[in-house]
Amino acid sequence: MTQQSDKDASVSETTTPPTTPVTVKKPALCGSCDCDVEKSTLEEEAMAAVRENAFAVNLIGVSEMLPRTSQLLFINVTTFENHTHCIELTQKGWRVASNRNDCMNGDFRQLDIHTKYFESLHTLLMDISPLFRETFGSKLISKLSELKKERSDSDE
Amino acid sequence: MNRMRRSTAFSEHVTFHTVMAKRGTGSKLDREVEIQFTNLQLIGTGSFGAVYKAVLRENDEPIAIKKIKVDDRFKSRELTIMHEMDHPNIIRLLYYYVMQQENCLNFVMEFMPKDLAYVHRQFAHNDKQMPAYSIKLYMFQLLRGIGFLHLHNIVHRDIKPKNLLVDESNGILKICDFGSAKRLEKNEPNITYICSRYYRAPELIFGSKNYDTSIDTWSVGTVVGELLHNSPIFLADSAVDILALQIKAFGTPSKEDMAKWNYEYVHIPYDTITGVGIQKFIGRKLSLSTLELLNSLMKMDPKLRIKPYEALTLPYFDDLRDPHYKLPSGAPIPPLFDWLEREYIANHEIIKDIFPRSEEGDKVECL
Repeated sequence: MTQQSDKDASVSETTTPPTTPVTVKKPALCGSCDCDVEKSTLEEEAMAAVRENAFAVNLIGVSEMLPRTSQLLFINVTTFENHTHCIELTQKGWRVASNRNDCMNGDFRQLDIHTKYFESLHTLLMDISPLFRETFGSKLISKLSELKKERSDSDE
Repeated sequence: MNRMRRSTAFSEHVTFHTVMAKRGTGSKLDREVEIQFTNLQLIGTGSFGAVYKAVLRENDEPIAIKKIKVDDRFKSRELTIMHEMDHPNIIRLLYYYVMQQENCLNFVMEFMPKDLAYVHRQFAHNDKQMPAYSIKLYMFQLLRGIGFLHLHNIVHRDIKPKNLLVDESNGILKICDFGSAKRLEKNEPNITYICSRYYRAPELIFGSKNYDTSIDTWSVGTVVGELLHNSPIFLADSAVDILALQIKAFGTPSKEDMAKWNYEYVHIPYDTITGVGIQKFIGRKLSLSTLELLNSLMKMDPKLRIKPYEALTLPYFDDLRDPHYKLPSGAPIPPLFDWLEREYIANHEIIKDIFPRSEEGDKVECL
């Protein structure tokens, strides 16, 4: 779990406990199938994506409360806008499951958001968080400024 | 449907696993046939599942069995693509079957002994260069295989050394792992895999939804660069850092491209940066033909990237066009120019530039 030190006080107000009962149970491993022998590729992908995008959100991490299998897991995000989201990752891609952390079920009045699959966490965050886009852009500008300075230094 | 029984280390008798399976690549028939295999052993965990080696009883051929769990509602796009792609540089799907009780889809594929990442690592660990002939031979076949996919509007989306299977004894390379591949008509997303980051085209890093088959071409360029450099050429921890390295090498993408990549929202008021060039970026002396190949494959502008079959015409591959060219062991190189009808029809204008210069003149043999 990545955390900003200067956490905004309003975050606690928007993070509400799930109203839907969540039953977390261990999925039974296949008897003669080794699909879950090791940490799954899905989980590795999720953790790598979390690390890669953490710089441009307030909070992000794999949910500890919701189910986690080689086929399915959930990621909690609080964007720089202080909006909370629970993101589902499956073989189909990345999807906004709900607008509350640790909650699988979305608001049926926003079906367009919850039925859209993205190819990466990056493209999903680019879509739902304007400040993610701005932060990504700013960091890129910063990197490119370093490049320019580095170049002009070596030209002297 | 016979349930698969696991071999035991203490069995005094050879255990045969018998399953009903459907035929794979190139097959039109949909009926099941009985297949038997033995010597089943787990050799790795691939994407979303396990990979086994075994021996097919009917002909004693080694096979690889990739087992993935499937959601009942989820049609396997990987299966559909592998079933269609009948090509010497694409791994062949021999059979497939479903274990209903376990919701597992099993791909029975031809076995290839090693992947390119493993082979390359053996050189890199000893601070040695992979031989130039090996790189040319493998990259020719990679480009031919990628070209075949692109003819069918299929983009692989996960080209990296680990997904390229090779047989060093005969010089053959085959593309595998179509878990991320898709036909571009369908606007279906898919997950990119953990090791793909170094091989991502700039438009993907920007989050473009409007990419095309040329993202594979960029990946081929990064693979060539890696084989020459002994490590990924855009090696960094985050997407922004990888992008910065790409810009350092090749310069900033145009504003038009950035707008096309759905990046209109953020105005980036940076001046354009000219790249240092791939040779200076890698820090290694490269031949002119190598530079030409790398620069053709890795253009920041996707429209300017060379097409895979067209890349085969470049001087970099001239050695392979010599009819007398052989492997160091003296064995002949694999057939590189035995074009399929589909390949010939699509490339008839450049085929003569790819063919070897034979002593009998420009004799063209085709189907």
